[in-house]
Amino acid sequence: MLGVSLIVFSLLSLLPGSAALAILGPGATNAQVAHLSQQLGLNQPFVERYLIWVGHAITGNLGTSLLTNQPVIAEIEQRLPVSFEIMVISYILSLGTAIPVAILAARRPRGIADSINRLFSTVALSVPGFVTALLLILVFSVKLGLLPTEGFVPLAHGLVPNVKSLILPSASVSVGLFANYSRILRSDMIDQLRNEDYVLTARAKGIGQWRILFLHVAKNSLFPLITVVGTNFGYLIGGVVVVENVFGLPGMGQLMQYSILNRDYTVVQGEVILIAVAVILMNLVTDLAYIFLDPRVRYGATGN
Amino acid sequence: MALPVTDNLAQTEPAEATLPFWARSHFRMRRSALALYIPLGALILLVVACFFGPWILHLPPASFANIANSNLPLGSPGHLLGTDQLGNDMLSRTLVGGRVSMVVGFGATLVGFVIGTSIGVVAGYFGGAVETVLMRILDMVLAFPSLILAMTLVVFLGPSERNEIIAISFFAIPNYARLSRAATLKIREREYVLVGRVIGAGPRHIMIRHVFSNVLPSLLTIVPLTVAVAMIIEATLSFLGLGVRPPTPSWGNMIAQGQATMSIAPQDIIIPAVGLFLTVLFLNLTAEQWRLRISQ
Amino acid sequence: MHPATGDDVHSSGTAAPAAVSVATADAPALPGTEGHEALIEVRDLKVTIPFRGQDVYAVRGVTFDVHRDSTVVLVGESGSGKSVTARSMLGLLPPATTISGSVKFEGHELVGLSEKQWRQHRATGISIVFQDPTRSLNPTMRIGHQIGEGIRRHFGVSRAAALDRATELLDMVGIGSPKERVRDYPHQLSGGMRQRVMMAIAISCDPKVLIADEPTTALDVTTEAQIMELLLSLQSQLHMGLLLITHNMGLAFTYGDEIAVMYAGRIVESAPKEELVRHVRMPYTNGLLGSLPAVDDLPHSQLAAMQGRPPDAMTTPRGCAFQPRCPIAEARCTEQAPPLAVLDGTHACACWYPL
Repeated sequence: MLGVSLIVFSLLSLLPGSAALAILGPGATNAQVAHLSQQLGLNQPFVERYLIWVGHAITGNLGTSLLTNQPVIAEIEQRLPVSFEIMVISYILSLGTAIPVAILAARRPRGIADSINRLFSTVALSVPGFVTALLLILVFSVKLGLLPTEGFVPLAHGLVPNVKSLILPSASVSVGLFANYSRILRSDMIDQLRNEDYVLTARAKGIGQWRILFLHVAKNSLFPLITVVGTNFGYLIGGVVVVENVFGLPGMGQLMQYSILNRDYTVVQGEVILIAVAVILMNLVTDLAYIFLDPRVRYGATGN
Repeated sequence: MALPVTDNLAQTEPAEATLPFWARSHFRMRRSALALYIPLGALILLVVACFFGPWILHLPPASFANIANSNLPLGSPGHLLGTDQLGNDMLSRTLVGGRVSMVVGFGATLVGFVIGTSIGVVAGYFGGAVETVLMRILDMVLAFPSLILAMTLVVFLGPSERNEIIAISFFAIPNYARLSRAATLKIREREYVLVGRVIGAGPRHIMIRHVFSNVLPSLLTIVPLTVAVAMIIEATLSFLGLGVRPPTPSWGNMIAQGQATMSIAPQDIIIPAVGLFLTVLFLNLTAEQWRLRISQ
Repeated sequence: MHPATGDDVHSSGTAAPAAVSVATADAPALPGTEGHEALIEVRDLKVTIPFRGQDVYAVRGVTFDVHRDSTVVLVGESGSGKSVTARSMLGLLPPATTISGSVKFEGHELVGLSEKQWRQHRATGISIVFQDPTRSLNPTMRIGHQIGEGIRRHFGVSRAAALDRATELLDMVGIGSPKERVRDYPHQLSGGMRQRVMMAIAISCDPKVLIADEPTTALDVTTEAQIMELLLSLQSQLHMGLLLITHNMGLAFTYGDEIAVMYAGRIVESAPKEELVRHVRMPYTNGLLGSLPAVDDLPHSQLAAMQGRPPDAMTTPRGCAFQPRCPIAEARCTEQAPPLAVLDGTHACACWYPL
């Protein structure tokens, strides 16, 4: 954690002069640049600046935007709910489709569900997020006129318009997630059905295929699923940034993009740190989920 | 081949779980060869088309065309794929744009591969504190979303083709480092390395000769996959305006431009998208088939 | 699965003389079982499994009966086809398997049944205990549920009733404090206890026939004796027919009423235990017995292991399958495969030169 912040900070402070330059614009004289640099404390030794920054960060002060002069925290706070909602809906969509499809595919490998899923996943993983987004817009907004092309409707204005404005962006992100989830799930389920003895025991009891899949296999498939959800978290974040751009949604991704384009270093720093925190938190959550779900850990072993 | 143990009657499905559905088992032998060479061949075709196509076919230049020709539809005389909103020939622009994506994709992979593998082999071979420190740093980078990482690196480097390569390679480095370290650990204990040490060869010699050359084959199968991901990241960066900037075409920024005229001229988006999709698809298929062949 | 069509294409080339052919004649009658009905009748069972593009002739014509209240033991080395035989009686083989011959349970033909029909017979008619209880139990399901699952499926009782019955069954298999144990997960039990749970599952639906596929191989020797005793006790309590599969000759001779020795997918010798003890006929069986350590062997004396290995299950030898390793093989053994012939009343042997 500390390491990440160190890396980020060091990277961004390697060019102290250009921050002041960016603010003042290309027409500034050297004296003006020097003066502003001093004001912003950019001339102090590196270590000192870093420690000051860390100190501020811990107390929740991530600095001030170089552009708008608003506190970075405030800007982020404003935009966080949008991005968060996109992520939630994406998870619901991707998991909600991946799990049933994987079950169907595992039940009859090489069957219809399986073949379609495999084909779809191969294609889905070969297409970048923004292309998916644009294709969806083309179909649903332009041709069919069902959903808005862009713009965000906050929850305050009603649940349905809110979801309508977010469903296409979330779907774009979900496509890639769906491909990964369903692949892992399907392959794990098939592996269980073929190789695990407890499946044989269940069959020997006369239990039907569906019941075996749902009650025996599904539970054990949760573990690889959680793993893949965790490892794909980075992909999710990247995807959210992209769709916010395509759909014009006022979320963290859009903020990130504008800050980068305008060299608003403090905002970028703040966001990056937040993302790093989020990634670490996600890892923690997945680890905890493992512990919670594995009966071997909950009820310690008493036999061999 | 060993007798199948009668207790394990499960008909194991070897990596077939990842094969496209049209591959059937009775064409097993022939399928292995064809399935690799078809996507590989198509890939080479695409690369050649992008780098030499415009020259061979005497296509009009990709930028600064006559704006009077804007938005010509497909199949117009002299412009096989029509023109974009500025009058540039689409086919020419697409092929030239492909060059950027491919160069960046391949370049980033190359840099990542070389640096990453070196780090990994060194870490794996020497172990100890060196390994721990290196791996910790890499773990931090690895956990971070690759796109955001590339974006932040572009911040202070400035958007350009060369900087994209540097930025994107950052995501490839830890991947290869991890893989090569794991492979190195396995090989380190093998006999020929031990023989090398016994006869007094220096660590550098051993690493280069034995470890590296044995670690290489399995790593190479990952290369096409990395190129594919790198190309996607490049396209995304260009799309967001953080990569290659117009008028130089890149598949990413072409798609971004096409957004404006999406409803009336969707082909402005679709054509470069198809180019990217095909390239990535063939890269993925090639990697898959290559891996299968190596594992048999 | 193909319906019983008699000889299929993958016949092992055994010429079966009509008079003593076991393909049509009944299996040797067990002494003292005239009153006991034959619950399972296997006639010339052949099982071929495709594996990576090639055919594995796992079982090449097997015939035997399982009677109520008696124990048949199938002994043989790994790969002799004993497990495949067991699983074919429950329809638990991979879908691409070819099965020919006949397996009758209480008169019903089992070969060629659909999966749905199989499910009727499983657990209520025929049941099985597998070798490795650690892998055969689902680690994320409580054992009470795993035991009760079959009961609920076949008898449609409520969850509570199934749980009660599961508790009873745990008691029957000798697990202490069953009321608490029933809520445990498999990893909380020792290996021996897990195998007891497996047996509870197996008898949960009152089967008529119980198959035990190497039930003690994964257990240590002390637990082995306990489990075997439990198995026998359950058999007599429920009046089941028991088919014991093992590679352990010692177990076979201790617990079997009738012993059938399998080699390379066929039965090469079968007899009631007493008869076999008195007079072993097949050189292979002799070899197996000889490789057992004897109580009065000197310490550190060498075990007389048999040379060589069983034949590849994908080839079909012309002559006797055991010939390469047989100490008394003659020319005839290479040319012609000996049929399983009844020698005197209850003792059958597949050898040109029985001992």
